[in-house]
Amino acid sequence: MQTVQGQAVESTSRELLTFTLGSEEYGIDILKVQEIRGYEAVTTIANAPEFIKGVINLRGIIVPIVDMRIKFKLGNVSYDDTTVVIVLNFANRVVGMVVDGVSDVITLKAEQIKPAPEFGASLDTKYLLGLGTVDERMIILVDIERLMTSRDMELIEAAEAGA
Amino acid sequence: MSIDMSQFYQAFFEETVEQLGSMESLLLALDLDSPDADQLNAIFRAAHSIKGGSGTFGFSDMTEVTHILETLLDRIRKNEIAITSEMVDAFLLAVDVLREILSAHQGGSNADAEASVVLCDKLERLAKGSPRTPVKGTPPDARHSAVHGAGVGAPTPLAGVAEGSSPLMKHAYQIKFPNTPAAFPSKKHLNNLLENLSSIGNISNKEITAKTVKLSLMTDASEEELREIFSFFLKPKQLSITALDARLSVPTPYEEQGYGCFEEPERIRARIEEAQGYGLFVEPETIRTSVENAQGYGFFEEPEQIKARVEDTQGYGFFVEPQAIKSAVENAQGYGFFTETGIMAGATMPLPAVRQNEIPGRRASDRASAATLGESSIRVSVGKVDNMVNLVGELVITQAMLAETVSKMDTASNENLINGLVQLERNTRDLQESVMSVRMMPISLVFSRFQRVVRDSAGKLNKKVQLKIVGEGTELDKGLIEKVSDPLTHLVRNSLDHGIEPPEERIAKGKNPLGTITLRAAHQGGNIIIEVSDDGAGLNRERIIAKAREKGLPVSDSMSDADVWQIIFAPGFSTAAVVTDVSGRGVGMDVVKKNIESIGGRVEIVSQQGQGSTITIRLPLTLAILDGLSIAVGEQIYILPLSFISESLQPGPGDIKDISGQGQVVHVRGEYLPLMALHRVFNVQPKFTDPMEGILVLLEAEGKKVALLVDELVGQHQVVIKSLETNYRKVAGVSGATIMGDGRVALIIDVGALVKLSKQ
Repeated sequence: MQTVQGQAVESTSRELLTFTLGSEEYGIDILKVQEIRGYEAVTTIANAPEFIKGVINLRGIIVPIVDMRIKFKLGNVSYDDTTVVIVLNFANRVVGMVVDGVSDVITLKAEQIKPAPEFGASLDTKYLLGLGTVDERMIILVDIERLMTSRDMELIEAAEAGA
Repeated sequence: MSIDMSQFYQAFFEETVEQLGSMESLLLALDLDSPDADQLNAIFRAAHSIKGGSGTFGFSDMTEVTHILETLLDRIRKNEIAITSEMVDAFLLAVDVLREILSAHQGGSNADAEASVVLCDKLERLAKGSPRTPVKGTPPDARHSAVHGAGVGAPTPLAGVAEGSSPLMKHAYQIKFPNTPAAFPSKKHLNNLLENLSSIGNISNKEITAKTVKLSLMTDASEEELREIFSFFLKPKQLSITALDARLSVPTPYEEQGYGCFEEPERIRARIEEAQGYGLFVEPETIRTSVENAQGYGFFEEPEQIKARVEDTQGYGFFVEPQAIKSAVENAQGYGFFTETGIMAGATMPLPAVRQNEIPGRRASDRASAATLGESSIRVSVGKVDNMVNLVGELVITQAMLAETVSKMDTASNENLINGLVQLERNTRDLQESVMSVRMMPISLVFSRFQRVVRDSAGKLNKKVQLKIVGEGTELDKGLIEKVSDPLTHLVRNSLDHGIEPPEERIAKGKNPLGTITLRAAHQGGNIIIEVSDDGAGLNRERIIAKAREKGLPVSDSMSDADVWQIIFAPGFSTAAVVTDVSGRGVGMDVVKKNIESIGGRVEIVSQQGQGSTITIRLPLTLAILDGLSIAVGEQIYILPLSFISESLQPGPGDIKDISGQGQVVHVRGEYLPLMALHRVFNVQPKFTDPMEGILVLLEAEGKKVALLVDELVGQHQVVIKSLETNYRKVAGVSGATIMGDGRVALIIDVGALVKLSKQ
């Protein structure tokens, strides 16, 4: 937890993209976001976990799509014109993640961010950077890179998964 | 024997410059306190490839420097000695010196022999990890100067070193002993001996042929001590040790050659011949070595003699009389290395008749053409080219998507658009072809090295073999060229060792005593066909079957020839009665097959006993594009590489049999093949689960056949292979992905893995 707090304190303010999953609102570092696009048909991958929907062709790059709603058992899992994919770019990888909706881009100052409690969110606290408060809204700050490269997500070969 | 090596010089120069560059940057990035093993290995590899390349092209001065460099690096990477900043400095100096030598070879300027001498000295001292002693320091000096010979201006300070060193050596010996298999079963034994010798003194003028080994040794040890060393390997009678005057042996030729030779060739020649060690040009079987030595000493002979010798040695090189060399040197055009290129060029130029005074001019024109070649080609990183190939692949897909959309439009009202798209289609295709051609290289890059392999191995095996090369201009992907070279070496060696019979046997069979191995390359459809054929004994069916039985492999006498030949691909299989230096350990063919299959190719054998055998390798044109059959299972489309598909069929009612607990088999023309349902392997919802409704695709990989049940065949495509691992992970049963004409992703099935799955 100490390193997590350290990170939260050292940058005085951060820009976040917020999205909703079920009734919770999450925030991720906007610099990790490459683009936001609609959900399109995927090519399923044999014997992949259920939350890995498959791969899509993103302008010639093969990109895996993860449905966070399935992964964290939140929200209504249905795919239509309004289903949104946040395309993330981190550690030289591109991954798409399906969420319930993208809400906002916000700037949080360091003092608006509080350390995350040990429980309360659907995500394991080790992937959380803290809790932010904006106009009575509580935003859960996620270390998206750490989450996506973790073993839990099964996106990366086990050998590489450091987190 | 007519291959013009000079056409590959440019490639060698370019590659070496690149290697030196990467070596330099790695050295600079090296952390001295905790050197990264990968980096050290990379530096070592760079030095090693330069050594290998320069050896191949006969640039012995570079080989010498890199050899010492390599020795030191090897010790560092094995943690025998710790790397110091002094070493890094020396390595960087080595990079500079190698660059200089390289540019000298390219015809730019004279190589600084002095610098390389100083460097070798330094490196050797570092490698030994002991303070410098003049005794140890001298021999590379001498060797180097000998090599650089005429190219050196006047390295006076070195004379002092050489002179000063000789009194420290008590004795000089001329040692000659036979290089028989009895004494030295393998090269390792000989190397051991040579190492022993160099630990007590300095070896120079080493000549190793298939029959004899000659060398000069400067040492403090007595003759008895020397004989003791040899007694492990040889009978005393076989060894001839002649004591020489120490002052006359190594340092003298060096000293004279370095700068004295142009004044009084007669005197030097007399002295050298007196010294016995330099009567190098006598034995015809040492042609090659003598030519090499002639780099150092050749110009002491009279032109007529040289000419005669050159004729004897089948056009292996040419020598010029001292005046010519001198004038070349005076021109300061770096022609001191005349023999280096001479050896290579000798093969193609009608050399024996070359008049000496023509040589500088010829050289100048050679150099000019080399310079233009340098300007007309650029070296681009493979990554950039691959990126371009990918982008063009995207363009082709986009174009296909547009074409599909437009095809649904009204032709009359959209005429311009449709015409434009037709034009676009043509341009895209041309663009794709020309981009793909960037990666293409002629196969002669691989073939050319076999002249040497055949020559050397045939000598070792006492066989007479000629190598014929057909279609060396055939181009294939650079990645494939690199991967095909090892398997081909195996095949050529096999042909040499097991295929071609010894001359007596061939005469007894009424064949030409001179055996022929033919390397042939050609395009056939979307494939490259490479054939290695020989007119030797052919495969021995009975012996293979007998040997297979011995090894417990399933065989029967009624097997077809083709099936019998497949046995030789089994791991560890060898019918050779004796394991030779060249081959016979049985590690060859299975590796060949594995390597070829790993690049999507196939190996086929045709053999006729007594007539010879032909081994055919079939390869895809490129690694980036694959010929595939698209198949559908439920909603999903998959690609099967065409090279693994033998046929597809719809089974009849009686063809499918259930084996309890084992799944199903399908009966195809007398064979029962295991049936795999792709939908079950990949866990997708199919249209049909009954094999009778779907289609069976018969796949063959790794010697196993399976029938794969799919819903339907969609079509045949050339697909651009994309890695799944870039953003995702490896998926079992899938070798990659591609993007289809409609923009969707299709997975490419890894047939090899699939077949393995069926075994479980």
